[in-house]
Amino acid sequence: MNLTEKLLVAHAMSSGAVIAVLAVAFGLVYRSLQIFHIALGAGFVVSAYMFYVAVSLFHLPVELGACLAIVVGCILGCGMEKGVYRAFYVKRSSAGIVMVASLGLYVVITNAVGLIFGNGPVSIRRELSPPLGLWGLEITVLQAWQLGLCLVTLLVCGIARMFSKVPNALWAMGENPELLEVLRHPILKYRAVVLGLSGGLSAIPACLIMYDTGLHPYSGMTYVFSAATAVFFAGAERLFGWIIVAFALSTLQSLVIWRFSARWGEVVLYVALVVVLLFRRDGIFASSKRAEES
Amino acid sequence: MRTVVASYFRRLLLRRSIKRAGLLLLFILALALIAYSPLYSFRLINLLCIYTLLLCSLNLVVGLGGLLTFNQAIYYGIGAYAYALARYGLGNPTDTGQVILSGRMGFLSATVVGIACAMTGATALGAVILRFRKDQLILVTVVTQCLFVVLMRNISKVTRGADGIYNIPRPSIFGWSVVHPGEYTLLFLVAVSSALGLLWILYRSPFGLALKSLRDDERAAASLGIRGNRTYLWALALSGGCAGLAGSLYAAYVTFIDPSVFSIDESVLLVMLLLIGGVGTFRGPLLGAMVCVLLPELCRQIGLPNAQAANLRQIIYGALLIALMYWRPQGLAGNFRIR
Repeated sequence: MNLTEKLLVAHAMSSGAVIAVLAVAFGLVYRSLQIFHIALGAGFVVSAYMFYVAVSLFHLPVELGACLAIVVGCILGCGMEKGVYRAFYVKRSSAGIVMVASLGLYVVITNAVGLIFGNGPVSIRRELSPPLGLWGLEITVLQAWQLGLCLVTLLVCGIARMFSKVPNALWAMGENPELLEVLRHPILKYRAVVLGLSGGLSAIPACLIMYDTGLHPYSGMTYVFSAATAVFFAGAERLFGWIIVAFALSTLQSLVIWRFSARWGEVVLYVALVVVLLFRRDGIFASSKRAEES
Repeated sequence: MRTVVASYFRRLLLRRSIKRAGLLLLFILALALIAYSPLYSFRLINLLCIYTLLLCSLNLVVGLGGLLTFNQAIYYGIGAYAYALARYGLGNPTDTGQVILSGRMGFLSATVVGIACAMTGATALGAVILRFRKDQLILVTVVTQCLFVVLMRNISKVTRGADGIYNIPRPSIFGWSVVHPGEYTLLFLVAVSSALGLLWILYRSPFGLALKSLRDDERAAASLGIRGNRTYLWALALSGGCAGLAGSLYAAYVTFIDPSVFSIDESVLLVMLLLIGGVGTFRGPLLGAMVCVLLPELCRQIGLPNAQAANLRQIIYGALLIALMYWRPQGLAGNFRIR
């Protein structure tokens, strides 16, 4: 591999890991609560700005700032459930109505952030990240952190999904919430846990991106739709599929940037999603269903 | 029985008289505003016309068809770009001195080109997006909307990329040059009221009823011989045509367009305004357009700086949207709840 290829692979890996964590955060809510959680973008932005405030304005250590941002992300997620989504759940509102309410929530929170911090992008002043020769790749320390942290997060999610009861119950909530209610599972608590977990998960890439390139208050939507793309592309049922697709799409995007131009990176992503959905409605990793199941 | 009927008619008359009084009051207020500050009020009316047309056209798909889509700004943009290119020609004569295709069409023919291109674009896009429903439809429409903006930015030989197309010639119709905002208002009122008249007829026609039946139960409608995809495709084409007209009028009025005007934010704003105003009726989009045009002016009157006023306006839209989805999911003056 020449230097460009090494740099592109490193970029694809680190950005793929970031999108994979976001996809898990989005997919968890979409799979368990059947909510198209656009407000996740708002949680993402608030966590990122919390990190910015802690590190840039209060000069706290980066690790402490990140922990603070994750806590704020969790609290905001729970707050969204208790303040908005629960009311719609109790009222048995349709998925479309909840999605529109989520859009409203996103607009309110991001504009509140814009009102406080201004509509322009903000970034954290830091030293240039030094290169690190890892597995023969030209990867920077920051990219290594991105990759490492996200991989650990994904690993924890995967292990919890496979071996713990609560994540399984959260997963099952997407299938039949009424049955869980009958089995005396605390559905309302589970809902708060799912949204809190999703908020906390989204805070990790938020901090990493804020530290790397900076963000503006309205960038949350783009990241949420990238995550949603990975979830729909893979199929809403497959947690490991979301992760694989996030890495694959990121690699594809890097390849296009390398071979053609950075201008066409997004185009390939969008076209790929539409083409895949046209031919495999339930995603590429979805198992085939009988007609009466769909 | 007679008392019941009499009380019903009394209530109906009362309701109608309240409506008439409201409309009269609005008309008097509009006249007073025009007399007080003509230029300012003409500007407001022009914006109101454009947004009314956009929201009414979106209502055809979302309100009557029941398809929540986030790509109305694509058709709006296609109309504006097609109009601008038909009036101006391809390429960038100011930079390179070279015009790839000299359009130099008149206002009317350029508007027709704008409408036709938007209709074609909507039909082509419809062939793809109509294969999806619900969440997938939302995601695919968002994705196509983002794709449109990226394409408009990147095909810079045609669209001049992020710089946009400026100095678009002002309309001239049979020797009447439209320059003053009041003249624009006259032109817009004629164009928009004709389009709204067409939409009014469509809302009440068998085609509108077919769309409503598809919205309520696609399978039942199919059993009555209504062809879902074909009807939806027509709805999208007509909606795209109206949005294309709005785009042409916008380009003719502002004389400058760039991809940021037709971004996902614009599509989201349109959907939000429609849902606030009301879905499925004719007065819902009108109300949404009034909220869109009058709320910024109210924010400005408070004395907030422009950037903060824009944020505050969006916060109000968002909060209103959440409250309405909880208490009145069909919007202020609508009759259909999003599913």
